[in-house]
Amino acid sequence: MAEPSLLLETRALTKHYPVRTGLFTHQWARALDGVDLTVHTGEILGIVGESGCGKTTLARCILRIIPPTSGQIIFDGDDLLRFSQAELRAKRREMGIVYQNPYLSLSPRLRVRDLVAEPLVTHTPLRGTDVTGRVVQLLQAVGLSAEHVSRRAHELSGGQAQRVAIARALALNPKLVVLDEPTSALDVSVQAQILNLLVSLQRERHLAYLFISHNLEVMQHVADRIAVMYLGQIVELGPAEAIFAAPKHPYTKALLASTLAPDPTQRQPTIVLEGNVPSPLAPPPGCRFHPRCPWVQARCWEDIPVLRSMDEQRLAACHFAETIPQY
Amino acid sequence: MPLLEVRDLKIAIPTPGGLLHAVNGIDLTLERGEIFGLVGETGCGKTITGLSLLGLIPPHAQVTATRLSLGGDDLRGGDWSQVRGRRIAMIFQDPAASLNPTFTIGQQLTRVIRQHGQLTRPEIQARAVSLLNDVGLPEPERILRAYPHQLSGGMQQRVMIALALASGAELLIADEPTTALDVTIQAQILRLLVALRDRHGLTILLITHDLGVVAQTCDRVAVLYAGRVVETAPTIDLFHQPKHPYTQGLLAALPRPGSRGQSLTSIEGNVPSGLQMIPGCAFAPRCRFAFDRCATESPSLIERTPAHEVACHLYDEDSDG
Repeated sequence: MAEPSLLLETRALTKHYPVRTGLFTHQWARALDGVDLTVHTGEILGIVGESGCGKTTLARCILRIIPPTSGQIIFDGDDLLRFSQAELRAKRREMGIVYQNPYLSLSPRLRVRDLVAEPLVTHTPLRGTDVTGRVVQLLQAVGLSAEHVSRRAHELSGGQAQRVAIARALALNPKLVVLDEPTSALDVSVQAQILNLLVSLQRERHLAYLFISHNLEVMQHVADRIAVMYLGQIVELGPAEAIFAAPKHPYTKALLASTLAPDPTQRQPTIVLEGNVPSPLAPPPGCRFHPRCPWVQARCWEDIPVLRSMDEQRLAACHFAETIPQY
Repeated sequence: MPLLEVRDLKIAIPTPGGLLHAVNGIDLTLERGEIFGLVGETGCGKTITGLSLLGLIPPHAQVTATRLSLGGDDLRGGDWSQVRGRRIAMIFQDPAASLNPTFTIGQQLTRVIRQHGQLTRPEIQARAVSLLNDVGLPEPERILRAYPHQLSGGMQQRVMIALALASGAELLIADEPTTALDVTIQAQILRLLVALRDRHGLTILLITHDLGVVAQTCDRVAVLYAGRVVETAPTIDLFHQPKHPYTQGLLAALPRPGSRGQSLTSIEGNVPSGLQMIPGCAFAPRCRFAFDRCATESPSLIERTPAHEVACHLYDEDSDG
């Protein structure tokens, strides 16, 4: 098999939001702070982290739904931030997005046919029965059928509605699909159906996924590589298998140890992190994780750790990644 | 004597589309000091079952039970104000929606303490501080002066638990208490619930859709499907020897370490709406093992191995399971 080619690269991607602190004053929330990552064609990159870590901001910046503050986004060889609106619009055909809650992301007024046809009508010369034909093909590809075309989102079950959202995202044969918590609103039995569908579509169509989830079991099931985010930064990046087998960053360790295994004989004494995620308005100095880190040392209060190589494929941002205990 | 006994609980709610059979005969028995899990998917009736134990059901709903008792006292037709918030307390998924945004934590907490005993002002203050300590909140004095929005979700949920403890409740109903929280915070709150059971002998009915939460915290568990208990067992038995095809399906649908590259087993079809009464087993239309009897006769919940009850005709002839 040929070496997978680079599809997406972000360089020092940063997004700061103004947050009003008074009538005339504001502070900057550092939602995303210097994120470097790559996605190859046909790869599933998982983004893991807790609320407020910047994972959704990252997805929105990459699709340029919101403009980043600084940094670069190279998609398929082009710097998206230099594009005009018209150029960007053409490029967007190659990206799709699926959100967490299909009842919110799909217009309640439109019928399934129009929901799936919308990107086709916007971006292609297809019209009339050609569009309907393509819509039915797409619905079949996601496990629905022609009988669903005249329904509205609220007439569908959660799983069916999410299938419509996936069909819509795939309508223009994108190279990259951003999946923002695609199964988090679904019941377990339906989650399994949607995960199976996403994995098989990815294989058949050789898609790249940027797969955002807080659910580590889901991540372990689907992702090739994983980026772990904390307070707007990547703290660990590497092959999913290696990270799950032996996490290097203390935050990754704590995250994995907080996962509740569906097995009562594995009631492990977890590494319980004290305290809460600090505010992105005033991230702690030095290592951003130091106030909650069980292995914190004096240096962590001052020196900002950079993302550095642990082995051939793995990066972690911790001064003491080599010396903290494995569990 | 068990703390809570529920027999044949039925809840039907009139809707524009017809009578919605939300709960179709649930039996529950909670021993003192145990954490009992009530698990099921959306619409299985788990939340409304919890609410019915506090009398928090819409007045037009039809609620019946052949037995509903707390510590031997019949709750049916009684005065809910003597039970709700006194003997049974409840916490919910979204603590921000449960706390009053216009009062400080101190005002909300001392109000509950005042209602539950004749205490002097310094005693009330001291009790408030000790309750916040009990739920693991640092700097209780500062928290008492704070408004709910100044606290994180995890801290708000701890305050809700403190309010529940302030009432001196014997039974805590926790409805998806960690679903809105991050995983590291979820672990803290679940550990707190287990610690409160260990320290204060609190009995907890934990309502959740998350099998991981059940596996890690509950002593016993009941699986609900379409308003009925389909299986109830000690947690270890349920996860290691699930008997009901629905329980087996749920466990098989979970992504796990090592499931990568394999297709997950899913349960085909959808949950019935509850608007039509199904004559036989409610799971039969989705069940791989269904046979003629399943379509006509509703299976009763029968103990097939010690402490392990299942409602399934598959075990009728072959009682060895």
